[in-house]
Amino acid sequence: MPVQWFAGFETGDTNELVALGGSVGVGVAYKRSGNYGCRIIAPQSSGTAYITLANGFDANGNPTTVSRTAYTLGFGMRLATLPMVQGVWEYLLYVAYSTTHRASLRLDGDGVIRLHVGASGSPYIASFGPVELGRWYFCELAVLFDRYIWRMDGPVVAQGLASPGGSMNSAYLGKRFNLASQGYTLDADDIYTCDDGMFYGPTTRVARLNANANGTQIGWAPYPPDPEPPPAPEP
Amino acid sequence: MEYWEYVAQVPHDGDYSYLEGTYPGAAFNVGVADVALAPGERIVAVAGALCWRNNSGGSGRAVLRVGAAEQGTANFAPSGVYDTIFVFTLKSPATGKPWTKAEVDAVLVGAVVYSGSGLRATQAGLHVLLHTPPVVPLQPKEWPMNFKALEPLTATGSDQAVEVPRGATLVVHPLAASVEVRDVAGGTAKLTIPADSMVMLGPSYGQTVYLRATAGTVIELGLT
Repeated sequence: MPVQWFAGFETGDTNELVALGGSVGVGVAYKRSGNYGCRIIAPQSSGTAYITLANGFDANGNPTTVSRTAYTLGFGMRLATLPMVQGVWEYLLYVAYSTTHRASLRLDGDGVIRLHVGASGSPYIASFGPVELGRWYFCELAVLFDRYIWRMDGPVVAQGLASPGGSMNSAYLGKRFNLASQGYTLDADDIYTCDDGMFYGPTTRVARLNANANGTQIGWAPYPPDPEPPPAPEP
Repeated sequence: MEYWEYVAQVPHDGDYSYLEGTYPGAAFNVGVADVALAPGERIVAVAGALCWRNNSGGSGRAVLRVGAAEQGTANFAPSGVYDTIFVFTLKSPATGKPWTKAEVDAVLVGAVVYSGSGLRATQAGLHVLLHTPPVVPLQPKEWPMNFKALEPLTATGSDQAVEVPRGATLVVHPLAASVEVRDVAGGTAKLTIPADSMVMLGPSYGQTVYLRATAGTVIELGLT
């Protein structure tokens, strides 16, 4: 099956996420499409700021993480600030089994994003950038059991053979761990995850359709109750 | 005030306005705005979104309806704080096939009380994941041959103008004597093509070239 979950922050909150930590906000100014987007402010202090993406739903309709051997995700991203020291990097995306590293995109102080697959100490196998600040990119990364594909704004940045080292059940966007404490600011919007290698490309967006008409109703009482209609005028 | 207005606020307004399910079997649903698709845009997935909470001991489910077909979450008792739950679908419950715009436009989103009472819904709507497939340019299986043979030119001993259409390449093959090529009539020869050799000049920007050879020399010409 292709898409397992998506989020556009179109309800003006973070309810579409599994979890979040640190300075994560939803606002009009952070949108890539629709009405709202998300801002993650990774602190320069020894804190973290990230959102936990889902790749499925439980029976009650809550976004949740599911263990899979293929993890593909796409997200609109716009960087406002970079890590403040050259040669120092922070996690931008952390794909994991629980918190065990499977693959990651790491943001360097020079604005270059580097891809690592496998153990967290493995060297990078592809890079992109330096990225422009204030510009939206649509980043897509597929980590399959034996290979990876990375695209930015459609074209392939890198693809090849590499094993993540096991199944994956979590993806964290932002600064998942405190490492260099250099911080950065990231806007994210129009996120999706798949359990195969399907990419949807840079036109991907999430639309919100608000309630605007009655359907059928029985036994649901409105609050506050409608005021009594005004009395009919005297003849 | 229509009842859909109680669940239309974005962001939701919590307990400021809501619908409350009062007994088992109570059900409501609301229609949503039409989806506006960009040219070529397609629907990937659809999720009915219901923000609700439990003010008593009720349980129930969120539902997504297309016509008589319905898809929903399990029946469960939500917590006491507002939370949004989703009815996620890749295909229309009505057809089992990928969603069409007409089906998305006709969707109803709502909730059903399963047991107890006190379920408060403060927001209902629909989220749609959209994308535009890349346009694949059509290419012929084989490029057509575009060679065009011209009548051989018999040299007169002076410049003879040959107009080469824009984009074309001129093939020049003098048979018995060399030929001089000029870009300006009467100018200095910039290129001399030996006898019985073939040269291709181009692609042209729409230029006229001037060929000169000993009178009587046959010059074979072609365009490609």
